[in-house]
Amino acid sequence: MNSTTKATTQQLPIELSQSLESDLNELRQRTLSKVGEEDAAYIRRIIRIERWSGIFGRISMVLGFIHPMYWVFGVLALAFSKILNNMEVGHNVMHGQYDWMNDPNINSRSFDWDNAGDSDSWRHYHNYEHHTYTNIIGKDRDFGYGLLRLSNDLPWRIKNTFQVFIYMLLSLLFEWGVAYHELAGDRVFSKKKNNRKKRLSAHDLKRAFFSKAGRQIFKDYIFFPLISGPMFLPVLLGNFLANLIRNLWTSTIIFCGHFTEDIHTFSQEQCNNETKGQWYHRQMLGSSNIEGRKWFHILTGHLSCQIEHHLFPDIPAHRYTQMAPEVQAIAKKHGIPYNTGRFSRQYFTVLKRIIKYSFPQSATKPKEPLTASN
Amino acid sequence: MKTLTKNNISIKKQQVKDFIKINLPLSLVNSKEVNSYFEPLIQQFIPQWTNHRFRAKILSVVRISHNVIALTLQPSKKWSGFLPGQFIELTTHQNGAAFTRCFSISSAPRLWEKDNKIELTIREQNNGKVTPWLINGLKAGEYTQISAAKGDFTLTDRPNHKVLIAAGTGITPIKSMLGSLKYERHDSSIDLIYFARDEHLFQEELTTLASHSHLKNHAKINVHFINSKSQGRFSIDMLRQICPTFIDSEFFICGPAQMITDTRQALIKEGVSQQHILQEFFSAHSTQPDLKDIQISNTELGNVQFIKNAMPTDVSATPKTTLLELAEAAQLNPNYGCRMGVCHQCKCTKKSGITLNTTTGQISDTGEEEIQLCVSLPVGDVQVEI
Repeated sequence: MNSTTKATTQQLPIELSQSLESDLNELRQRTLSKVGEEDAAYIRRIIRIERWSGIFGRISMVLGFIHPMYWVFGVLALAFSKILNNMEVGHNVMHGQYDWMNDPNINSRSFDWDNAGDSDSWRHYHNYEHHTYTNIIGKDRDFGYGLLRLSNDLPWRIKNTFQVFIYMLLSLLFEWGVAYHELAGDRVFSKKKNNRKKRLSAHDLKRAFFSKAGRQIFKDYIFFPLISGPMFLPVLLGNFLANLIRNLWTSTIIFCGHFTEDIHTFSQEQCNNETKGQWYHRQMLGSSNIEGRKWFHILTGHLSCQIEHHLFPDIPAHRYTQMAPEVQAIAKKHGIPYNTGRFSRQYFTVLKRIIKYSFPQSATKPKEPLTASN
Repeated sequence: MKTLTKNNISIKKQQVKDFIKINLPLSLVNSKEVNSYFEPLIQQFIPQWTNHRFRAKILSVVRISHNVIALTLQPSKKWSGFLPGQFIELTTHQNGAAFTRCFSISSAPRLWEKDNKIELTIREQNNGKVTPWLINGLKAGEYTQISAAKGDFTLTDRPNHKVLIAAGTGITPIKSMLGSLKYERHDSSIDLIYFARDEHLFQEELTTLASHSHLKNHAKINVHFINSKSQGRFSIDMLRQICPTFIDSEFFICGPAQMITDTRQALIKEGVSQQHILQEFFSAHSTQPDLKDIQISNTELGNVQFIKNAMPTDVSATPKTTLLELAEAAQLNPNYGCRMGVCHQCKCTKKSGITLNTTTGQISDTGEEEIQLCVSLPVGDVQVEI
C-alpha cells in the first residue's frame, strides 16, 4: 500500500513496458497531429492576458493614493500576471512545447521569465536533469531540493526535525530557493566535489545568477517604485507581495506534483539501460495530478497534470487535460497506479510526507500508517 | 595625458550606456528588445506586426504557368528597398507555425519606387511545404511578413559588356536586373542567355524588352532563349556564337547549383577572371527525393555542414548516425542532455536540407527550422547552425 519506503520500485516487465510504450507513443502521435493553429492562438492569448494584467497591475498599484482598493487590485493583478508568466507561459515555452511555431519570441532557447532563476541554467537542470532522471535519488536534485528529506533514501539528520519550517520558508522564497538551487548552490559557492556534466563553468553559473537576480531586484524594488514617486513604498511593498503570492502558489503546486504520499523514488542502478517504456513507467510513478476546473489548470500551467507533463514534456500543456483520461486508462490497463486527487487531499499528503520524513525511519514497523511515525 | 583621461571617461560613459541599453529591457520586460514584449499586444490592433520583420500587404497571387506563381506585395513604408538581384525572406503562417523561405525579387526597383510594389516569381516545389501552399494560402488584401532585401548578387558599376545566364526560375533576379538596366545608358550591350526545359517565363516581356533596346536612353539588350531539352546545356561554343569576345565580359549566373558550378568552371577555364563572375544558387534541392521512400535505415548520405560561431565545419554523414553524434565526432561540443528527444537541450536551427526525426519518423521540409540534434538524421546535404 505504502510504497514510499526506500527505492524499491520494480522495473516493469519487458512485455508490459513494450505495450505501455506503444500505447503512450500512439497517444503522443495522435495528440501531436492535432497541434496547430489552435495551440498558437491559445498561447498568444495567454501571453496577452499575462502582459495586460501585468501592465494594469503596475499602474493600478500607483493609483492606490486615490483609493487603497486600487492598490489591492494592482497587487493581485501583478501576482496573477507573474503566475501566468512563470507557469503557463514560461515553463511550457521553455520546454519547447511551442518551438514548432517558429516564433523567435515564443522559443525555448530564447525565452526568459519573470523569475529570479536564470532561464539558461533552469533549462539545463529542469528540462534535462529533472525530466530525464525524475525521482532518481542522487540524480534528480528536485527531489527535496537538497533541503528536505522526503524519503528514507536519505539518512536522517537532526536538522530534518525542523524541515516543516524550512519548507514554509522555501515556499515563501521559492524563486530564490530555486534560483540558488539551480546553480547547485552548495557546489558552486563552497566548491564541493562536482560530479555533474559540466556545461557551464562555476564562474558562468555564478555570473548568470547574479546578473539575473540583479535585474529582477532592479525591476521590482528599484525601478518601478522609483518612477512611482511618492508611491515609492506602497509600490515596493506591492511588488514584494506579488512576488510572494507567486512564490507560494508555484511552490505549492510543484510540491503537489512530486511529493505526494504515494510517489515512488528510484535508485540509480534501477534505471541503468532502461527502455523508453520503463522510462514512461518511472515518470508515471514519480508524478501526481491535481483535479480541478479549467482556470485552476491554467493557473498551475497545467502542472496539475504532472503525470501527462512528465510523459510528454514537449506537447502543448493545455492538451494535457484532454489526454489525462486516456493516460489513466492506459495506466489501468497496465496495472500502474495513477496518482490523482483533489487539491486539498493532495496537498494534505504533501504536508504529511514532509512531517513523516522529519523523523527517522522506524525500523520495526516500516509499513505502518503514516500517522504512526508522527 | 589630459586627453587620455578624457578618452577614458568617454569610453567609460559608452560602457555604461551599453550596459543600460542591454540590461534595461532584459530587466523590465525579460526580453532583449522592448518591442518583443509588446509584439503580441500590438498584433491585436495591427495584424502581422512584427519586431523582427516588415509587414507587407498581399496585392495579388496569380498562377503564371502550370507550376509558377507571381506574388505582388506592398511592403510597409519602413522597408528600405532593394538592389536588382537581391532576395527577401518571406514569412508565411500555416496552421499556427511560421515558415520562412527566400525568394528573389523579379520586379525592377522602379516599381517599388513608383508604386511601392514588389513582385516575386515562385516555382512550386514538389513536396514543398511552402511554395505549393502559397496560391491558396495567401489572400489578396491580407498581410504577410518580409525581411529586408539581402544578397550580393547585384549589378556592378563596371562598364563591361554583361552576360546574364539564367536557368529555369533563376530568371527572377535577372529579370529585375534587366528591368533596371534598360533605363541606364550603357555604351556596351547586354546578352541574356536563358535556359529552360519546357517554357520560358516572361517570354513576352523579355522579347519586348529586347525590341525596345534600339530606343534612345535604353540599353541594348539581346535575349537568347535556349531550350535545354533540344539545344542542350551551356557550353563555351554556344557562348562564342552569341558573343565571340567574352573574355572581358561580366557574368551573372543564376540557376540550380550544378548548372552554376559547371558554367563557372567552363568560364574560368577559358580565362574569365573569377572576379567577373557573380552567381546566385537557386533551388538547392532541385532533385527533391520522394519523401515517402525515406526511412531510418536508408537515409541518403550527404554532406553535413555545421556552423558554429559563423565557422563552417563539413562532415560526411554515416549510416544511422544522428546529427548530434556527427557534431560530437567533429569535436564541436554541441549542447546536449537526455539524448532521447525529451529535454530539447540540443535544439538547433537547421538552415537548409532535409532531416528525419527518428522518434516520430517525420521528414522535415527543406527550409529553415528548429530541430533536435539527438533524434535527427540528415537526408542528403544539410546545413545546421549549432
